[in-house]
Amino acid sequence: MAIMRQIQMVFDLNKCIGCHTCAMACKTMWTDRDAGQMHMYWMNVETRPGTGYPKDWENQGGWFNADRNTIPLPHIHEGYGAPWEYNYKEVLKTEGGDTPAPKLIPSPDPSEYPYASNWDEDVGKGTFPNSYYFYLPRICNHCTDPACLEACPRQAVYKRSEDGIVLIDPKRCRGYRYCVKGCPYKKVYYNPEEKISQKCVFCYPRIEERKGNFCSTQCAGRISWIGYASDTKSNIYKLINTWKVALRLHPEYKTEPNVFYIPPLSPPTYSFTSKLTDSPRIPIDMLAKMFGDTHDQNYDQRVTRIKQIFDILQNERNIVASGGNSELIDILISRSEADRFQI
Amino acid sequence: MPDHDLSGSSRAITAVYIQGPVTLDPLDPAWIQTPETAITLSRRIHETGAKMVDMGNENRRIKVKVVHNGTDIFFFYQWDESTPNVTVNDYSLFADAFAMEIPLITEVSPIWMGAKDKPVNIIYWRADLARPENIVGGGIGTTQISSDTESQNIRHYQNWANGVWTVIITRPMTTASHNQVSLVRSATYRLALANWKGGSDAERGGNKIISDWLYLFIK
Repeated sequence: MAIMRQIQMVFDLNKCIGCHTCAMACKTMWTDRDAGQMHMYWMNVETRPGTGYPKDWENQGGWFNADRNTIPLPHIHEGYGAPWEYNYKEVLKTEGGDTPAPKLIPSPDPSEYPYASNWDEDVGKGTFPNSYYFYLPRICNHCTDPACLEACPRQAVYKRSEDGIVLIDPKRCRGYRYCVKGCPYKKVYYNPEEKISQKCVFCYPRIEERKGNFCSTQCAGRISWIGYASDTKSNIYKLINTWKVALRLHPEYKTEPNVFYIPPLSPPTYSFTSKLTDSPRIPIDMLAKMFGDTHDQNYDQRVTRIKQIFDILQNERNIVASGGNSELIDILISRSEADRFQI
Repeated sequence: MPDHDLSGSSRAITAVYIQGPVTLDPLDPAWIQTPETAITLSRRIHETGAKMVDMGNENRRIKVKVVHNGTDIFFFYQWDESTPNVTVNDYSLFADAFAMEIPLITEVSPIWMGAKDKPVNIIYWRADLARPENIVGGGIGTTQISSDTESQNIRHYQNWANGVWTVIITRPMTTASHNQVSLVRSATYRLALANWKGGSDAERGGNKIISDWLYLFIK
């Protein structure tokens, strides 16, 4: 089936402040329905460097691996983090609580399962004054060649021709979880109450009404753009194809993700003798291991591209700083919602 | 070709006629007076359900007894399982399951979920489900729980003890709708059985072990 249009998204990692408003927006919209969804964050924000959510997902592989039979399935507690409840009813007077020495206690006890979707938030790496980290917001990438779709033996996973959004048909799904194993980004989740797999739907009911997906709409930092891949007038087209400042996350997974990232600039490192060097604090090596254009680029090509993107960003910033105009900087500032959504 | 150990097993099962009511109790006298047939499950389908591939020499034996009283038919299945798996409430947990397949409208159907013009009627039991599901299939990947509530009229008994699963499945012999095969006295039906081991074996979907087509004669 031909895909008539493909929706794409760009995140500017220079603007993400890790506030998780996007994750909360998605959670209240979609994954707040039953106990089986409590551990799910279809949209999550990870600190990098870090182990990610689910834990260590980058090392778990996906359906295009040669040894697909050995791909593990995460565990709800150890991999995603045990969602706990608080005893508000006992503690808050407004809830009727009246205990003499009220203590807010989570249950189940999180120390039994020490993990959460933002477990190593702000931990980062490096030694002061050269410590570093950045935030990586992630949704399902609605890939052009989705591993989840390929993995399902019942065609319960399908890709819409009108916008390329990848969905799971809840009536066809039998909870086999080959899709969960298959996604190399681990962005398909399993609902143990409904006994089916579920994932980000790119807020398709909103897209059908030409509104932005909720994570993007609620973003406090205005860090993301959405549009259709073939729309040459859209800002995502300009960011990806004209200015070429946006890269795919792990293109070597070969699923051709449709969510792109503008890599984060960072302040220079200090040398041992307290002189500023020309190496950025977030090592380019680390970024080159994460981001690239296509699956056939090698490491050196990715390094070159990241440096090139940094040069473009710095250059355009300098133009504006000295009073000039820059189309790229105007797009990146995104003063209004119309600047970010061209659907 | 690996050898399948069919010794002591059969492909013919008779549904014995018992007068009067039969209950979903393994100690019901109907079961005591009914001889059992040992069936060997030894065929595997590729884990994604895509191809039928003989893999290895594995044999699982199922003890089968079938009785009917003219109104309802009862299928009694027993097999060894060292650890029961009864829950699916984490990503890596799969429950033990068992299914029986009978061609829905034709005499024979392809054993792998039938074909478009030769559909199959499957009764699927899984340890975590409230009751067995009535399923219709028209080929690999097409199985659907039949949507009419009338056809979801299957009752069951299940128990695991001392390394043995005992499952009794019953439904009326008359079909509730076009989504169930009609079971009639003096008729012979093809019957295939399938078993899934849950737990760390993580068998589900096409990743299962099945019998050949058997012959079920209803007395």
